[in-house]
Amino acid sequence: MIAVSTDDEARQAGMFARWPTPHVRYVADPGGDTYLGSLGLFDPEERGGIARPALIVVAPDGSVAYRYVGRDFADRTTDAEMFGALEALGLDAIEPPAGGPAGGEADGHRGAFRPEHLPVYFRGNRMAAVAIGGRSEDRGFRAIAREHRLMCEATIAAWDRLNGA
Amino acid sequence: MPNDDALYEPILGLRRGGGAVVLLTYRGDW
Repeated sequence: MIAVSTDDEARQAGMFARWPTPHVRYVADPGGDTYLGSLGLFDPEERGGIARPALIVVAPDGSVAYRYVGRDFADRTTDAEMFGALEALGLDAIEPPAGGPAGGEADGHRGAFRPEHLPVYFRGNRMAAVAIGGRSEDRGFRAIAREHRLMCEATIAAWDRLNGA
Repeated sequence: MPNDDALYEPILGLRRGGGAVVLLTYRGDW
C-alpha cells in the first residue's frame, strides 16, 4: 500500500511516527509533478495544490483494476470495494512489505488530526449523517447521507479491530 | 500508469514481487 501526498518527506516521517501504518509506504510528491498530476489526482485550486482523495488498485501488469476519486475530502471508497477489486485479481497472498517514509527525519509536527481523534471524529460524523439524512425527503440526498454513515461505520469498525476493541 | 522510472520504484517494486498495489492519496498531515 502506497500513500501519496504533497507533504515533504520530513512531514510524512512525522506522520508515520504517530499513525499505526507499518505496511504503508509513504511517497512525497510536493507540487504533484511526479504522481498526482500524471494520475489526474492533483487539485491545484485547494490549499495551494494538494491531492484529490483517491484510491487506485494497480494489477501486477500495471493496469488499473480499480479507481475511485472522491468528490470532496470526506468522500472515500469502502474497504469492501477495495478488497473486492483485489480479490478479483486472483493473486496469491504475499508478505506485506515494510512501509514507512522514503526518508527524512520526523519533523516533530504533531498534526491537527491525531490517532486518538479518529474514533471520536467518525462517531460524530456518523451521527451528523444520520441527523442530516433524516431531514430530507429527497431520495438522492438520503442516499448520500446513508453512504456517508456507512463509510463512518466501516472506519470505526476497522479502527476497533485494529485496536482489539 | 507511469513507465519504468526510478521515481516509481515503490510501485514497481511491489509489482515485481507479484503483488498488486493499492495507491491512495491523502490531503496532507495538517
